[in-house]
Amino acid sequence: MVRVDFTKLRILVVDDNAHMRRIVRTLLHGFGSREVYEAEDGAAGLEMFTTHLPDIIIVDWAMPIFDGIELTSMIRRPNSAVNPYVPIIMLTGHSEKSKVMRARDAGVTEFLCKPISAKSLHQRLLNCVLNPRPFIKTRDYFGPDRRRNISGVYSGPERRTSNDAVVADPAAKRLRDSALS
Amino acid sequence: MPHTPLDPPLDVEWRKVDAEVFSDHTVLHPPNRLKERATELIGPRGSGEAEAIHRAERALGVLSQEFASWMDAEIERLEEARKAFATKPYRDAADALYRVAHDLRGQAATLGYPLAGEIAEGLCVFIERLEARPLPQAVVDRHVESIRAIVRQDVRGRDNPVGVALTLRLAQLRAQYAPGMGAE
Repeated sequence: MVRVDFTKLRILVVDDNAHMRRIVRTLLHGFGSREVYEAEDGAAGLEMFTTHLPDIIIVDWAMPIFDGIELTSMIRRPNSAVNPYVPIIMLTGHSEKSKVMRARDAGVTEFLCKPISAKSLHQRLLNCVLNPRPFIKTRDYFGPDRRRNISGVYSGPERRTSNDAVVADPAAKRLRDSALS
Repeated sequence: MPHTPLDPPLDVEWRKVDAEVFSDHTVLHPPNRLKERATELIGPRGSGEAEAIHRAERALGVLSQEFASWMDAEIERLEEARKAFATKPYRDAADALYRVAHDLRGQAATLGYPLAGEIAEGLCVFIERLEARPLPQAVVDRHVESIRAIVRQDVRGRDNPVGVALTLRLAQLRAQYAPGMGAE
């Protein structure tokens, strides 16, 4: 069995509520994390993301200046100079399906509803480390594959018109470089 | 707590990404450096995870001694936001009030007051669904007063019939101001 060594993870917590930051930090320390950074709004979170280069970000939705969705969108830019693939866990009081879908469409990796528990947070963190999904880049989306479960019975909206050819453009490398440079 | 910084971040590794290019989308496979760097093989299944979770729960248990005072501070924030909205009932004040209520909605259960969180949720949903319509001060006041009373009387969850009756009355109040919004 594989165990995640939290001492080797650098985690950024972005939440405008000091009490919630303390709760999350306490849980992370309990898991073994030692390098935990905190930011109290989206702007400070973006700055800490670029300066501290965290391995995982835990972000609240409702925050002043710009919120967790806007922060996620700013990070998920394929041409970014800083890791646009960083796992983002949205920790929020919102539980409505529409909000979950909106977070997913912004590029969130995992969604975690408050009230938070040690088990649920641990599970989301494990998913980020052990089961990362591939990323999808389209004209209007860049983020983790929204089809979480690989199966032949996908029933969501069909956004991909082509799935049959592995490489449609022979200059794949050039395309890839342009997508990521 | 002082700590030794980890290894330098892998700030360039993410650029080395395998890609499958399709006509209208690209599938990218970033290397999983986190798994390489932060995992190790251990013994029987589940033992490491359970231990980490128990450690975190114990740490949260110690922290919970502070939760009553945290709840008081959150309610004070809510009261201040209510007063600010009563003085200047504009968009900024309503947004600030929503954020404080939303904080309570999310953390009241963790702090030991799930029923207060439920009332805060009712207020949040009410504000969301009103959208551009003016937020009735009376609805705000009743919700804030109810949360204060519930915490003052140490009413925690749905095992208290008076608390449950109060949440029903608030739902009716919301429906009165905006039909269809009370029974969410």
